[in-house]
Amino acid sequence: MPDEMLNSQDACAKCEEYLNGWKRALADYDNLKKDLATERVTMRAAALEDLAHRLIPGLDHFDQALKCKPDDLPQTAEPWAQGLLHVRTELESVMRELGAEPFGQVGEAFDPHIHEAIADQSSRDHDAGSVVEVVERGWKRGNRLIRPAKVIVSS
Amino acid sequence: MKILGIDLGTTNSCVAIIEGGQPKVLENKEGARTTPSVIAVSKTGERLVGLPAKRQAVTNPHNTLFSIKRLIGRRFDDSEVQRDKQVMPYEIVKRGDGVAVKMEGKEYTPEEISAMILQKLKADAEERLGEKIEEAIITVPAYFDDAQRAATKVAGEIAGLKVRRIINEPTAAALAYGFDKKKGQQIMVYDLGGGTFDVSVLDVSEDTVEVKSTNGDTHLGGDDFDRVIIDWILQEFKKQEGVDLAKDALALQRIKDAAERAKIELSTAQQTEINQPFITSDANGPKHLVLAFTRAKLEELCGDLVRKTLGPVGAALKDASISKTDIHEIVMVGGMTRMPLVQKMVEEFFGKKPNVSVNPDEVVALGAAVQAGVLQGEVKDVLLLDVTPLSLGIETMGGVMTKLIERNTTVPTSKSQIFSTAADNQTTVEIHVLQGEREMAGGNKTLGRFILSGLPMAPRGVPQVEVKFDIDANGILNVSATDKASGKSQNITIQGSAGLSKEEIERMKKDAEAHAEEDQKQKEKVEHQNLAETMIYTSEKMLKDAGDKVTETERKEVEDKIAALKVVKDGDDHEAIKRAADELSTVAQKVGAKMYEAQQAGQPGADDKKPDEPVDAEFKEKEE
Repeated sequence: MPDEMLNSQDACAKCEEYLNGWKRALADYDNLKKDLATERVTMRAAALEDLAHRLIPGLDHFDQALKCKPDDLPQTAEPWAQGLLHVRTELESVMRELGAEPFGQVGEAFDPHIHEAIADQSSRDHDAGSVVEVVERGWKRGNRLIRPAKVIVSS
Repeated sequence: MKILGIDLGTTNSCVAIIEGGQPKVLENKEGARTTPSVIAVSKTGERLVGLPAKRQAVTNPHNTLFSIKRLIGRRFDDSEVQRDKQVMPYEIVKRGDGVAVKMEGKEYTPEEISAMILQKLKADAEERLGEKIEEAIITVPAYFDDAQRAATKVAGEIAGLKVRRIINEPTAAALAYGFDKKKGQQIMVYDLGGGTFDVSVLDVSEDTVEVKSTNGDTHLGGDDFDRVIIDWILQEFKKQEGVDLAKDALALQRIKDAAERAKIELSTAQQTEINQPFITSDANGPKHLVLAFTRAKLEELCGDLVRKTLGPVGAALKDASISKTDIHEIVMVGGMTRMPLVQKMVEEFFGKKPNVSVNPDEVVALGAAVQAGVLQGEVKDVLLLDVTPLSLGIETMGGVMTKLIERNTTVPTSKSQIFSTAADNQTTVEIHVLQGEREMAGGNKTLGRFILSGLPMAPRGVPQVEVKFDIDANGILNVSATDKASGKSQNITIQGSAGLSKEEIERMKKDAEAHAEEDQKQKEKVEHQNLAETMIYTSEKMLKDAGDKVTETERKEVEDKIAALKVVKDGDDHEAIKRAADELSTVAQKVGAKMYEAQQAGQPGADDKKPDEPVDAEFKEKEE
């Protein structure tokens, strides 16, 4: 085979290689743009979830405070306690604006995909494997779990 | 076909792949970057893997399997197995010479249980990537014997993965840092995980990374650190309130969470507060757990645990027959190595800083992915792209360099920007092409100059000249300037980086760093001057346009302020220039507002002439 032909064959192969490389680069860039667009959406969701997550302990403590409310609260202190409850409602509405919803009810079946068992306890009033007490409410944002509900399960 | 890099851990597992030449951790279905190595069959008969399995462990301890890695490939008579048999809540039984574990009355080998974890990791990775995965590299501790390695490989195969390699965890960690290229070096890998501590000495030779020695403590890890913190909190609360919370399961749960959070916070902060109001209540009402927790206190509590790790470090060095000064690099692995005290003690021991830049929870999986990339041949066929070593731009008003292409931009690339004139009726502009990092044109290298002439006469700021920089793959720079109105265009071509040597580039970068502060000051001065000139120009124009619509007093006031600004504008006192410009702006705006009102009342449609915002970048007038 004459040298020239070999060279032109080589050159063709090179051309092919370069063209493919170029197409690949363009495709990579195009895909990167798409990936970035999706990533932006997920990052925003993650940022909101993170923010909601940081607000949860404060709400937990409000719940805890309610559980500890003395029965013999003087009548003059009632409006004050009511006011604090409004603060709690305000915080909860911020959570809802972030897209977060609370969940977890006594009596529902224990589901490890959304509940975290922190203890078990025998109970006559509840079926085995159902929630006896919600120690801390769970929070979701859409289908995403922000924090599981911490529960006590009947054994 | 992608190959997964899998760190199959005792407490947590992690998966990574190579993407675009870089290792990257894949999140699981729950969105977490690590997956607990826990398996369970729930009371409803559902098989659970990872977080859900962990969440139900309390209610289902006999059917929740964890730390299975401690059993894989072991003989039933091994002391490790006998020890686990005592402490594990699930049942460990003899099968042949080996072991099996019981879950819901059924026996499983540790290989089968590990396979369930691997299956989940594989399925989640496939979902993330949108493609089937058939091959993997799995890491094991360096001290694993042949039986343990073989069993791990079997686990992979049960999970439907062809295990291309079983590699040592410390080797993977070193790979993640690229230390496999450091021929002739000795590397120490310090791995303090959730429940185990491993230390290894690696020797990097021409084509292999060899584990010279290993040591450790199979029952020392993050859990022990958490325990001392929890004990301290309980003690302090007892001192303050006289109540022992250790028996209160709910309170203990909250303290555990708070202790872990505080531990993490104190890795970056010097002080934190443990704040758990309404932790309990008695006849006297509710009680609150509020404690100040400092890093110093944390270090006092954990000092002994960290010191305990140094014994195995010394033993590993001795086994490798080298001294601590022979160690070139120290690689930190495991979440606990984020603790500043751990890093400090390791640094004090070796007299050099350990490597902590790669996430210590992920470094092993990332290293496995690097190895996968080599097998996949991902590194081949990568077209090396050049970057511009220095910034490129043009000189604009006041001798400032306006950068069009920043340094480290990958070439080929092009960038354009619109500029305007600095004076009324300016018909030519000079394009002075510059290269370098200094703020002022004078400090940078001139690549070329050309003149674009024949601009139509117009007030300053009106003409639009588009300047375009284009660098091709060979580094050849083409600069063009086009007047948008007349379509007139000029250009210049400059060959590859203007022949700068590596040394010159470095010198120019250093130069820019050294002069950064004075350059910044100079630039600010010019910016203030430019602003002053623009203010003077627009105010004078406003007065001219206003004609008799302004009173003599108002005109006088503006003119005085213009005169005052002119006096200071070329001086060095930035503050004075800024003050005078602000004063002028205030009076000019007052007049402008008045004109606007008059115009609204009288003839609608006329332009109000408020002082313009300063023009970002303008050409300086052509110097003759």
